[in-house]
Amino acid sequence: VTGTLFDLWPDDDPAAFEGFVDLPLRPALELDDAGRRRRSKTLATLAPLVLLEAHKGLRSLEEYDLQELALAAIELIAVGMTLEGGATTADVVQALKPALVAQHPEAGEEEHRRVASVVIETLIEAHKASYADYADKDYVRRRYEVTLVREIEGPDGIHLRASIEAINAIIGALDTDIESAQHAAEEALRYALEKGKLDAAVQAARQATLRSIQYGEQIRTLLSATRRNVAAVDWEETAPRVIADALDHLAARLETERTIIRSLAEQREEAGDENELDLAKIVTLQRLLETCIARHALLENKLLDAHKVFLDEQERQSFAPVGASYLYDVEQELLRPLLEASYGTVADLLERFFARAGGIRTPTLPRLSTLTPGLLRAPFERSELGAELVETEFAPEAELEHFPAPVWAAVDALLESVSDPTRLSELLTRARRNSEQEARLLRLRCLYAFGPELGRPDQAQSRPLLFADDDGTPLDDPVFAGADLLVFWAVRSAVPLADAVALETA
Amino acid sequence: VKDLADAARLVSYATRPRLLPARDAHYHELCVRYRDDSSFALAVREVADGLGLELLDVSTLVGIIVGPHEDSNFAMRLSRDYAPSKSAEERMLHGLIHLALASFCFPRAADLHETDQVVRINARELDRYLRDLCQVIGHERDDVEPPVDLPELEPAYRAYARRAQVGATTDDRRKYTATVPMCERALEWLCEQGLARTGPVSEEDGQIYQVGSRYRTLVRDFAGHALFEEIRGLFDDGILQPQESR
Repeated sequence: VTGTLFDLWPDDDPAAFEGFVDLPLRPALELDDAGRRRRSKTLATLAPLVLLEAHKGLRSLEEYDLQELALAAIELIAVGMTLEGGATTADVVQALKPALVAQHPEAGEEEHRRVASVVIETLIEAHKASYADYADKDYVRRRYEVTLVREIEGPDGIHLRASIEAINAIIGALDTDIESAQHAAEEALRYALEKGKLDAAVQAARQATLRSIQYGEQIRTLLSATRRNVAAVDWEETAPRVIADALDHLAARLETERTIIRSLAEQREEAGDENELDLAKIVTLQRLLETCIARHALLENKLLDAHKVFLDEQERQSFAPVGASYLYDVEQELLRPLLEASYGTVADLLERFFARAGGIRTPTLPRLSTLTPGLLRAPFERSELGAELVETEFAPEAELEHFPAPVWAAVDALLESVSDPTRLSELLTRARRNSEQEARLLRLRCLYAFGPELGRPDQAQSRPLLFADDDGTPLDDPVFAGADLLVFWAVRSAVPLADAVALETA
Repeated sequence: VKDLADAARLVSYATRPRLLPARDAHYHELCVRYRDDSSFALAVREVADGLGLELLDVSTLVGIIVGPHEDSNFAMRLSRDYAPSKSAEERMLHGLIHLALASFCFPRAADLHETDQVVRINARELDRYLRDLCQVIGHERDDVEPPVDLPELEPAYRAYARRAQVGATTDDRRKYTATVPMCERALEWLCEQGLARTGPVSEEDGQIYQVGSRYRTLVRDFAGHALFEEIRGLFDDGILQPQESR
C-alpha cells in the first residue's frame, strides 16, 4: 500500500537527502568551554551514586538498588529541609523503609536499617573528583569536592541538609525525559544558537527535518493501516493525537527555521566581502534551510488531508457488504491480541497455529532395508574448505657428524703445529695419516676459519685466531673439492681500520 | 473395499499439496467422484479422520485440502520442522510471522469469505505490515520495559519491533535472524506446502508470492478458527486482557 505521504518521503531515494549529506560540517572543539566544565561538575556530583551501585557487590547488597535508594534519600532530605533544620538520620531511615521492604522483603529490619545507613553515609561522605580546565591554553585538572548531604547542628540534635549541588544536579537536572527526541533536538538547537554556531544550528535543523520525516512516516503508517482496515486504527484518540503532535512540531519548526534564516542574513551582512569562504557557506546554509522549510510546509499540507482519508475509507469499508457474521476478523481478533500479549503467553498458541496452518508433513518411516545402508554409509565429506593443500615434502636432513674428543685433540694439535701459512691439501694429507674422520673435522675447522665472523666479542682479545684465505688455487683431493685454502694463525690488530690504512701508505 | 482403496488414495494426494487435479488425470477423476458420489465422500472423510486429518475441502480446482490434528503424525511442528535450534523468542517470531501472513492476506472477516481473490505479497511488504501494526499498537499503549529476569513478559509486538529488519550481509548468522529474511522463509514455506505460488520477481521487492484459496480455506476453516477459540478461552480465563473495543 503506497500512501501519498510515503511518496513524499521516499526513504530509499538518495535525492531526498541531497544537500543534507554533502553539507560541509567540520566539528571543531572549543577547548575552554564553561558549559562543559559545568557538565563535568554535574557528572562528578552524580558519581558517588553510580559508584555506590557499581560496588554494591563488595558490601554483598546485590538485592538492593542502592542507586535508586540514594536518589530517594536525597529527595527525602531535600523535601524535609526547613529554614535551619531538616530531617534526622532516623527520619530518613524510617521513610526509606517501604522501598527497602519492597526490594528485599525477606531481609530483617536490622539489615534494612544497615542498608539505609550505608546509603546515607555515602551521601554524607565527601567525594573527591576533578574536572579538566583548559583556561589559558593549559590543561589543568582542577580538584572538585562533592558532598551531597551535610550534617548540621540543629536545636535537637544532628539534622541532614541536601547540598546545593545535590539539589541542582540530582533533583533538577536529572529529571528530564531523556527519550524525547523532540526535546533533544530543541536543546541542541538552543545551545547552538546561544553559542553562535551556525553549522551546529543547521545540524539541528537537519535533525528536525528528519523528525518531520519520522512524523511523515508515522502518519503514513496510520493511513496505510486505515486503507487496509479502518477498524485497525484508533481514529478517536491515537490518530488525531499523532496528527496534532506532528502539526505542533511543524509549526514550531517553521518558526525556528525562519529565525535561523534571519540570523544567517544578519551574519551575511556582517561578513561583508572580505571573507568569501564564510559568505559562500552562509549562502549554502540558507539554501538548505529553505529546502527544509519547503519540506515542512509540504508535510503540513498533506497532514491536513489525513482526516479526509479516514472519512473516505470509513465510507468505503463500513458500507461494503459484510461477510458471514460467524467468521472472525483475523487482524483484529487474532493477530492483535497476540501482539499485545506477552510473548511467553503467545508462544504456544503460535506454535499450534503453525502446526495447523503450516501444511502437511510427510512422515518418513524408517525401513530396515534402507536404514542399514543409510547408517553404514560413509559420512559425507564437506568440501567447503576448498581443495586440500599438498603438503611440501622435504628431503631428510643429513645427520650431523659427532667427533669424539681424541679426534678433536688430534686436529687441535695438527692446527697448532701450523706456523707459516699452510695449504689445506697439505694439512688434509697429514690428517689422513691418522683417520678419515680427522680429515673431515679438519676441513670443517678450516671452513670456519675462512669466514670467521669478525667482530664477535671473544675475538676482541689479543689471542691468535686461525684464519683461512682463498688465493684461487683449486683443491686437488680425492674426497673434497673447492679452493685449496691457505691456513694460518694471526692476531687481530687493535688498530682501527683507518689507521691501518694510514700506516700502510706511510 | 475398492472404494476404500480409492478413498485412501485421494487422501494420500493431500501429502502432495503442490500437485493439482488438472495435472493428474487420476486425481481429477477421484475429485469428481468425491463431488458426485456421497458414499465415496463419506469414505474419504472417514479415512482422513482415521489418519488424524480433518477433511476441509475437495474440489476439482485445487484438489483435496486437509488440516492435521494437533497430535497427528502429519502435523508440522515449529520447533522440529521449521525452526529447530532457535531460541524461544525466535520461534515465537516465526509463529507470529505466519499469523501475520494470514492476517495480511485476509485481514477482515469479509476477506476470508471471498473465494476467488488471489493476494499478492512479498517479504518486505509482510514485514512492513507487521511493523506498522506494531507501531500503531505502540502509539496506543504505554508499556514499560519487562523485568530483567523475565524477558518473556515483553509484549510480542515489542519483541518484533526491536528485531533488525535486515542483517548486514557480512554476518550470516544475523541475516537469518532479521525479520525480512524470516518473512521470506515463511513465504517460501507456503510455496513448498502448495499453499502459495511464486509469482513474478519484481525489481524493487524481490520475489512476489501469490496466495490463493487453498491457504484461505486452511486458515478460515481450520487454523484460524481453532486459534480464535483458544484466544476466546484465554480472554475468559483472564490470561489475555481485552482492549477496549472500537
